Amino acid sequence: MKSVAVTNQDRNAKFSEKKQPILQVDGLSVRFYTRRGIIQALRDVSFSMQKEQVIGIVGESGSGKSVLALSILNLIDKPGEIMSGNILFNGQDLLQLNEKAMNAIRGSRISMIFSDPMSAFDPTLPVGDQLMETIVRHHKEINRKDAREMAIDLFRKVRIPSPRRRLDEYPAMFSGGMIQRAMIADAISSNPELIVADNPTQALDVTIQQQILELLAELKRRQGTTLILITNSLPILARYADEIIVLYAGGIVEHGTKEAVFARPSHPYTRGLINSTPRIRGRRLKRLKTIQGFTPSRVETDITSAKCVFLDRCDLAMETCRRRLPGAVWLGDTAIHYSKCFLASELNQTSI
Amino acid sequence: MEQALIEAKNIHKDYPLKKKSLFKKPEVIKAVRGISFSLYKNESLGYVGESGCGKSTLSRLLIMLEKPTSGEVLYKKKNIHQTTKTGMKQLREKVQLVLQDPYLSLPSWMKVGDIISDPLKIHQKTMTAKQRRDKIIGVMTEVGLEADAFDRYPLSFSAGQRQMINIARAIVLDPEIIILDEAVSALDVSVQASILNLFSELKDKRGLSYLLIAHDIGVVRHMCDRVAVMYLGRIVERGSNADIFENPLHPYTQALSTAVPSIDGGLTQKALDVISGEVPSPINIPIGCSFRSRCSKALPACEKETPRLIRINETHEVECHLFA
Repeated sequence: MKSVAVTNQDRNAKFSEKKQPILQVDGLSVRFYTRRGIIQALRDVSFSMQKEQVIGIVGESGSGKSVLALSILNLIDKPGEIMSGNILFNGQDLLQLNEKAMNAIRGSRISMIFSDPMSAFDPTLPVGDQLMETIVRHHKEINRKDAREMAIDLFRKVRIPSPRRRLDEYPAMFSGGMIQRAMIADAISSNPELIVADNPTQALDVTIQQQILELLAELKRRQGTTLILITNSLPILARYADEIIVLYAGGIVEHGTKEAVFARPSHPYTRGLINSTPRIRGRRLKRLKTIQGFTPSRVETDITSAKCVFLDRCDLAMETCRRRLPGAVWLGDTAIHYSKCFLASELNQTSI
Repeated sequence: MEQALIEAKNIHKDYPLKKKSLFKKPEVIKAVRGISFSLYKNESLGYVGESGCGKSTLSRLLIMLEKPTSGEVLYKKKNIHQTTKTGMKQLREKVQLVLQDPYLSLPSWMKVGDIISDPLKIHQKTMTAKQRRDKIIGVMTEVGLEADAFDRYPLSFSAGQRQMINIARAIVLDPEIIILDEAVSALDVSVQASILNLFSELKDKRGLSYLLIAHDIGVVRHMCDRVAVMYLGRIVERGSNADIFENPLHPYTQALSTAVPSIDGGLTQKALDVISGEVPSPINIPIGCSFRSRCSKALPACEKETPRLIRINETHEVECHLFA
């Protein structure tokens, strides 16, 4: 197999062959200025997605997953700053929009599902009132009665039992799974083209987690929603994503179709993640293979340092990794698959 | 047969709620409803279940933070809930606990060395300061902490390292049993893997027994020799690791192991067995099988009779009418 290192222009050329992507993120870098120093939360993140696709973004705490989600909605505020990059939504750069224009997109054409739905709802108002508020905001002409009918309909869609009664209940009367359903109802009330789900099942029990993920998958099938699924669990993405982006220390280290990423993981970090996940099938290992060390502190002294971000934890680190930042190596095994590692092609050929 | 370290005999734990009316009996939350098990030396026993199934109540009963409403827990044949204060203190030395949250479980105002030395100060009063320090440095090295951590505060450590401090504190008294109550569920996967490996090492080296309580069946499968599946305060199925993961019988166990996505099966596998509904309230649990409201295979008998534990083979038992 031939693999070539590709520049940004080449990749863009590759994308433009397809139809216009619904979302295209290009060279996104985000910094946070803190008392302890500058945190480079995202560095040069680029990816694009087509309509009705599910892209899964996986990374450990501090990898920049949530900052990426917030950036897409242009919600980065002080002390954070978007340093550079474009976020094109249907060809329109969200970062160039003024607040009013952005507000017309936020929550209506792009919605977000948060990991902690309980804190997303106001505890002093019935859930139905809050849902209707969103509905009225998006459908200006609607009267209260129709808005209520619509809310009931949304509750049905997300399979909340006895929706009429549930609408008048307060958030505290909902279980974790039910309030997450209500949050999803809120997110889909405007028929968004894109949903960003930031760890939507983090606090939920396994059976409830399953129900919520199946619900999202069903919404995608029925309504053709495009979904960005952010999680720290690879197994979830194995079942629900089309493509997988692996984030480490604010940068994409590997991006590919899920088949390629799981069958031929080509970055040492991706391989480490797969190896350290305890399996529920197959051979039981005495010891799990781990990734040495800990996630690096993100406060940087030398932001422009040109070395591999994974260097300190990598078993395969070489002299080159210390001196140069590895670029994307396209692997050509599926339509999209690249890894930012000097050994990408070799790893691609080696079973895990 | 080998003597069990801990033997629990039909333990129940009820929590009465506030009286709603003067003339009625208060409602009761039945957190644990008749659980029996034995834990042997150098084995790890796993308890898996969802929130509200009574896992944590069980761990609190075992470390004597709670008294069972009925039934008894024996440690080397002694009832742990009927000992004197000194007896209890001796027992606590032998049974230690590691909790889930690496942030809340360490006092932020104490240095790491002091945190680990507290149990020694309480339980080994004859130790000199020098002996204590050596002992602490010893266990710190054993769990993989640098000796210079001794004088630092928990704040300067990552979640994984904090969990190592917790583990060091748990092993400093040389316990026989450690209860791991969701001890790795707050950690990132790569860190979780190293902590799990540390648990295995300590088990081999110190001949420890673990009672591992978790909701992540991957972790339970990796760690445990024997596994019990809990639902609403009862054990619905138990057996060896292979019994539970290769031949799950109870509809709930089956649903747990097929519903959870896995890397191996995820690419092709469809979630066929998503269980509907939620765990019912533990207040006023009706008679019959408590899983019947969510079970796709429920029989008429499930409404009338509470299923009994049925023995499948020497190690494998299931509480379900399908196998009666």
